[in-house]
Amino acid sequence: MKRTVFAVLLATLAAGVTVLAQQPPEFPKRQQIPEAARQFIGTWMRFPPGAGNPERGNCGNLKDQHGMPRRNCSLPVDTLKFHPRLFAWIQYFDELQAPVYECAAHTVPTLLGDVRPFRITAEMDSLLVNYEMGNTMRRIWMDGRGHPPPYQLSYQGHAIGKWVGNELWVETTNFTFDPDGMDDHAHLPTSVRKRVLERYRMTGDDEMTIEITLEDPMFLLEPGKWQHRWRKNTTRQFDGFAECDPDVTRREIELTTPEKYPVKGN
Amino acid sequence: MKAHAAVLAVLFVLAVTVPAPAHHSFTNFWFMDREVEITGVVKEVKLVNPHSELTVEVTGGPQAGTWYITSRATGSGLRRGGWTPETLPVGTVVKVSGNPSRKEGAKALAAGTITLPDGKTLSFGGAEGIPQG
Repeated sequence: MKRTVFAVLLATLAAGVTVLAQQPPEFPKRQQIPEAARQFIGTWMRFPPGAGNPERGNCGNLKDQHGMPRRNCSLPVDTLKFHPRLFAWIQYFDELQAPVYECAAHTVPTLLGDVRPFRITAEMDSLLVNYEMGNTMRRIWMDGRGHPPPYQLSYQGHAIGKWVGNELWVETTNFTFDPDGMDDHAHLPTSVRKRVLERYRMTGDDEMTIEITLEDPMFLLEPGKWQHRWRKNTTRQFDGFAECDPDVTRREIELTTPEKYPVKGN
Repeated sequence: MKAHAAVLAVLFVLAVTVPAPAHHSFTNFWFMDREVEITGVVKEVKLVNPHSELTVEVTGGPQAGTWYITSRATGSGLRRGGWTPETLPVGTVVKVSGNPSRKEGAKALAAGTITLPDGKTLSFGGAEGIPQG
């Protein structure tokens, strides 16, 4: 009896070993972080104005609700050719509608025009970019996938990238409508047709240029193109996780900006 | 003596190194060419982004009420400059000078300098060293 049980167990074990030998477990396809990616990993600080870097604050002739000139824009407004629809939007818009006062994280290209640092880290299938402004974590897929179908939209959009030589090219699409999608200071919007191309290029040991192309036929007559210079910083602490408080941001704007659309009785 | 030196060092850091860019142009929201001074009691300090906030209660007089003081610095910038939630304890009597809001009647200031009861001053991320577009 014992011999029979032992023989059955032995046979079962042998069969199991045979099956395992025939069907090796499938491990995920092994990938390497490309050498080109390593140069971009780190915390990046924007070059100060001058030094070949475009001045932040070019708001063209745009004015705010008080009729005062806009300042501190994040992209070179006077180089862009706006669709008349954008000026109609400005007439309608008021500060209280800006998503930033509800702590909504900025989107590109506004994010790219901010002066606060960002940090790039790499994973096997993607690059992660953490922007101190708004504490936004952006994932750029590097595994060859395409964009989702056009009915799948998100506020930050969907970003895919590829290496072209030593340059990183990123394309972001599938955005929702965004009242601050082009700039959060002059509150220039972007539509679901927004497409942002970024080219990251090292220009020195610790220096890089980001060339930005913005397409949005709803609000631009032709694509806009500009660039920023950044330098790597190995000593500054990256404060990516300080919180935004919507009570504070909302109060700030309510206490400084008259109501453009007062409700009767209020 | 050592403690005195440490306090001086912290105050120096707070006053000098709060380098943070303004999230938006303050000129569009505040009268940067005017200054208002209030005296009251600290109710709350919020070191948050994009701008930190100090709440001060003023009792008596035409300025009576709750005032909100907006920093031009981010919470991150103030922390880097040495601020902590304990830097300005609730209940401290302070004198705050800052730029008034463009909205008429609003009890709000863009900070400015905070003066403590012993005469020492703190910067709450005022205009110094902050780039404006």
